[in-house]
This record gives sequence, C-alpha cells and structure tokens, in this order.
Amino acid sequence: MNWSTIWSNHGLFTSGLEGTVELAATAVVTGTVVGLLVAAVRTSRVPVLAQLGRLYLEVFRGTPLLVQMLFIYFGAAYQGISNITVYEAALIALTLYEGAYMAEIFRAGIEAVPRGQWEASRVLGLGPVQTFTTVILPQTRTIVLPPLVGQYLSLIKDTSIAVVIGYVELMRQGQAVIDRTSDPVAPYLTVAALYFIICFPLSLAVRRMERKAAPA
Amino acid sequence: MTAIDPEPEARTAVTARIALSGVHKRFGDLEVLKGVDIEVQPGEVVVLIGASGSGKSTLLRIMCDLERADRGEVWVNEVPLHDRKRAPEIFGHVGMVFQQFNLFPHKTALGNVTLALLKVRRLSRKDAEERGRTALARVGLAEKADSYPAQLSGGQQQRVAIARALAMDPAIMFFDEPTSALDPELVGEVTGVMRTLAEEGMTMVVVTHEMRFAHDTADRVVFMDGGIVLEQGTPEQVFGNPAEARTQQFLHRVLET
Amino acid sequence: MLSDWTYALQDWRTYLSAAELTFNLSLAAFALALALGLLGALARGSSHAVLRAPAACYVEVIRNTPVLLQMFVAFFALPSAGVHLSPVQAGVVALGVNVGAYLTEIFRAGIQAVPRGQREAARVLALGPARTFVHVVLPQALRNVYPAVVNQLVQIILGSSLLSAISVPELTGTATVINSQNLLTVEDFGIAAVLYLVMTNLVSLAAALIARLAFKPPLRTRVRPRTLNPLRRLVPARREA
Repeated sequence: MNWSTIWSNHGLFTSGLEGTVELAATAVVTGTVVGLLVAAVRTSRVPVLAQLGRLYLEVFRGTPLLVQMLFIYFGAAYQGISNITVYEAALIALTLYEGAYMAEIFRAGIEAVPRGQWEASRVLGLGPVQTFTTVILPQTRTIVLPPLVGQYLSLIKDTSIAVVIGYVELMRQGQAVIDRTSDPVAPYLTVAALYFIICFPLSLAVRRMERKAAPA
Repeated sequence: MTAIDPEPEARTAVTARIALSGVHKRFGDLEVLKGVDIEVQPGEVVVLIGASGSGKSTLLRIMCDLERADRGEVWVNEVPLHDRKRAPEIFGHVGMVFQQFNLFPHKTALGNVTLALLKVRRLSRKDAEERGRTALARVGLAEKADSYPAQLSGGQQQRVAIARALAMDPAIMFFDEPTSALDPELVGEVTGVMRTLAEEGMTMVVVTHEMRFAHDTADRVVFMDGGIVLEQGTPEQVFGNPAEARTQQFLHRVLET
Repeated sequence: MLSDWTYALQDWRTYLSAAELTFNLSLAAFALALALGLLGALARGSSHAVLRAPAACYVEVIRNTPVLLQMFVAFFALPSAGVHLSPVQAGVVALGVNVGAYLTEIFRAGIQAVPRGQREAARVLALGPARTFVHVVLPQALRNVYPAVVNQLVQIILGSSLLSAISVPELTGTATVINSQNLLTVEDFGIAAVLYLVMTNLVSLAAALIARLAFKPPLRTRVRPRTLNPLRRLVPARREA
C-alpha cells in the first residue's frame, strides 16, 4: 500500500469527484421533476394516465439500473440516435430510475394529505394544478423529506454504475490510478473514503429528519 | 360466568401480604413518590385512586418489580424487592393486568394463557391446556380459546389477560387501570370478572378511575396525591366522608362525570 | 421488427441459464445477508460496546459506499490480502455483506418495534430474558420485518446485474455479450428486463404464499412492496438509503 502515489494522483481523484458530483447534482434535479410528474399522474383521476404511471413504475423499479443504462446507451448507438454521450445516457437512466422511486415517495406524501384539503380547495375555486402546487405539495414536506433525501443518497452512490459505460467519475478514476500504480488497495480505499465523506453526513441528516418527523 | 376456583388450598398456603415503607421514586428531575408507606393484608382488595401524576401507577409497578424504588423497603409476598438478588423470586407468583392488555398477538387466547405454564412451570401440553381452559372459563371465555387477540373485543382481550395471569395461580393480582383503554360498554364485563375474583378471596391491588368499582368492591380505598398516601379508609369513609380537602376536591371533580 | 425478436430469442437457452445463475447466486448472497443481518442486529443491541461499535461501523461503511465499489474491492483488492475469490464467490460475498448491513438495520428496527409492554407482560409471567426473546419478541419481530426482508432479496436479484462488471456470466453480462454480437439492443436487453421482472415477481408471489402459510394469525400488511408508506409502516420502499 503506497499512500504517496495517492497524493501524487490526486488530480485524478478530483476530476473523478467532479464527474460524480456533476452527474449526481443534475440527476437529483431531473429525477425530482420526473418523480413529481409521475406522482401527479399516478394519483390522477384519469384511468389511462394512472395505468401508464403504474407501468412506468413497474418497469423502472423492477429492472436493474445497469440494464436501463446499457439499454439507453447501446440502444441509442445501435438504433441510430447516434452521438449520445455516456454522460447523457447515464443521466437519462438515472433520472428515470431514481425518478420512479421518488414518485412513490411523493405519492405516499400526497396520499397522506387529508381528502378534505382537495375538497376545500375545489370549493374555493382553485383548479387542480393550483391546488396541487399551493395547497397539497407544501403539506407533504414532513412525510416526504426524509425518504427523499435518502433517495438522493442512493442516487449519489448509483452514479458509480456509470463507470460500466465509461463515464468518467470517481470509480473510473480510481481504476485509472490502479492502472498507473498497480496497487488495488489504496486507490479503492481512497475512493471509498471519498464516497463516505459525501454520504455519511447526508445519512445523518436523514436520520435527524426522521426523528423530527416521527418523535414517537 | 362460572366461579370455579381451581386451587383454593394452594393459595391460602402462600402468604399474600404487601408491605412498603419509605418508598421514594424519581424519574429524572421528577420525584413521583415521596415516601410511601402502605400495607395490604391477605385477601384484601385495595384500590388506589388519585389524579394522573399522583404516583399510583408507579407504586403499583414497584410492587411487581416493573419499576425499582430508589429508597425504602418493598416486601411483596415475603420477597424483598429492594434486594436486587432476591427480587426475581416474585415473578410467577403475582399477576399483572395492564391497561394496554399486552396480550401476545401471535398466539391464540389459549396460547397466551398457556405460554408461561409450558415454558416456566414446564407442565405437559395436556396439563397446561387443561389449566388454560379452566382459567378462560373462569373469565367466561371458554369458547374463545382458539381466537387470536385481533379477533376479540377490548373487553374480551382484557379478560384473556386476566385469565393469563390467573393461570399462574398468583398470590396477588395487580391491575393497572384495567378498563381505561376500553369502550364504556365493555367496562362492565371486566369489572364483573374482577368482582368475582374479589369475592373468591383474591388479594388485589387495583389502580383505576372506575369509582363505582372502587365503591362496590374495595375493602380499602387509598387516595394518592403528590406522591404520598394522603388518605385511606373504607369506601364509605373515603367516598362518603373524606377528611382531607384535596380528597374532597378530587372526588368532586371525578364524580361529577 | 418481429424478425428481430425471433432472432434475438434464438439465444433463449443462454439467457435462461444466465438467469439461473443470477437466481442461484442471489439466494446464496441472501443467505449470507440474513446471517450477517441477524448477527449485526444482535451485536448492535448488545450491552457490550465491544460488540456494538464494530457492528455500527460495518453498517455505516457499507451503507455509505456504493455496492459496485464493494464488489470491486472483493474481487480486485482482496487478493492483495491473500484472499483469492472467483468472480462468483466475490459477487456472493459482496452482495451478502452489502445487504447484510441493510438487514441489520431492518432486524434492529423490527425488534425495537415490539412494544415494551410485551416484554413487561412476559417478565411478570416469569419467562426470563431468553425465553421472552425467543417466544415473545422474535416471533413479533419476524412478522414486523418480513416484507422488508423479502424486499432485500428482490434488491439482491436486481443488484446482481452489477456483477457483470467483475465478469460474472449472469443475466446482464450475458445480454451485453449477446448484444455486442447481434446489435439488437432493444430485444436483448428487453429479454433480460423481462426475465428480471419475472424473477422478482415470482419471489414476491412466493413470499406472499409463504406468509399466508407460515403466519398465523395472518400478516395484515401487503407482502408485495409496491408502495412506499410513510415512515413507521411495515411495507417499505424497494430501496433503503
């Protein structure tokens, strides 16, 4: 185990971190948007929309993220939607996959808001979209926040899967350092430590939020 | 309800006496019991009443070693509970009925009643079931032996809990607000069972808000206030002619409803 | 289009045997995870800090690092410590250790969810701590955690797809190889996706059946974890953070 080589290669680790953070941050935003949309669709009164929503959830939560990523990347390449970068493929896959889980989180939050809120809003003349954004959504916060942040945590870890299609993030750069130094242990430990430093505070935050939400 | 008493000889052979002196208990900053002396004679039915926070439940729980007194002596059934080495001797010889029933949800009524008989007393399955069914019959639930708690009403669940305690043939029965979690119309079936037990001579210590039960069934009523025994006496004395002002206030508030 | 599917389905035997490997190694990893989870839960609930601390570290490290990294460590880094595992072995170990950490927390929560009054009632009945755990706490804890535990098996099956990265010839890796040859991406990964869906649904169904047979009185919660319920309920999300 040679720690000096770790430091001399710290540029690789930083570029890896950048790749991870960029993908994760973007996917968090896009995934949340997709999750909200799907949750709204799922709870919609229109049966076709609701069924479509359920199908989406079945497929994207019932199949591995890697399969989805490979499908999108190679699918685009071989089926003519050429020039898709690994970043784009990874982002799309992550968005759809994590979005499915977030959709369920939002759905639980929405369903926890009492029916009366919808009725009162309707009587006041608020349309469905307005009701959703101004009345229902704010009330879902305590129920939704802990598992949602938990899902963000999973998302950060899931960015590592993009290494398989060649995206340059932390895992990939860790492998690059191993190739240079032919020592598998120290680089992986470093990568692990870097992930840990990012994720551990987040998981503590999730736990704190859970405690606040359910003080029982 | 049949009043079958399975082993009358066995019970009178065991001394059923409780003697607490100088009992103090605090939870964190809150001193809940501030020096309690109390005695219970064999066969006596003692009812503890008082406002919430008066310490009556804590006192009851100390008597069956679910809580430990910080100071003072606690003698239950000739077992010194303040002696931590000997305190475990009390288990299996007293029965406790909880406000929340605490029935084992994964076992049938009969299963609940016989679990301790099988595992602690090591009875054969046949003997345990026989005693279990007798206990259930005693509380009027013989036909519910194979029902799960979720299938029973609150009053029935509590009666199963009583049967479970009775099956161990305890010298003393403790009741911690046994009817507080019940719908009003179910209270009667539980207090009825308790009354039958009292008439059969069981030593009982009961914490309750059911003043009617206290009035009709208690041999002695103990009013607790602010962590001490403020007043005690026969039901006629305490309900009819309370000596202390705070007793009068409490009774006035409670009997209004 | 249809001819593409017929072409792709020619390899159905390969897909099925890959799925079989996926399923088998998932079961093996699940067994390992169960054992680790139970031990971990007992260690975390222990009164001895010597047991509590390592268990807590185990859980925190595993849950805050990616499972793919753990697989790489098992396969690429362990040989430096003298432990040489085959790809399949490394995969089973990595998945088992990973899910074991999640199961530790699940079992711990399940045990804590048993109301305190149960232990008190058992205590007054003189059952003693060991018998109380075996006859009163554990049966109820198992009922509490059943859906979450089944969910973890589903997660293992899906997570086994990552083992393709350490050259385990499981379903995803096989699909990738076939895809590089026939270039029918939609069909190849579509077949793989269907097989995953079939496997996970079969697991959920079997679990529901087992629950109906084993749990008397019947488990009231739904065994198929299709919904995420707010915090304190017993049917959890498909993924734990």
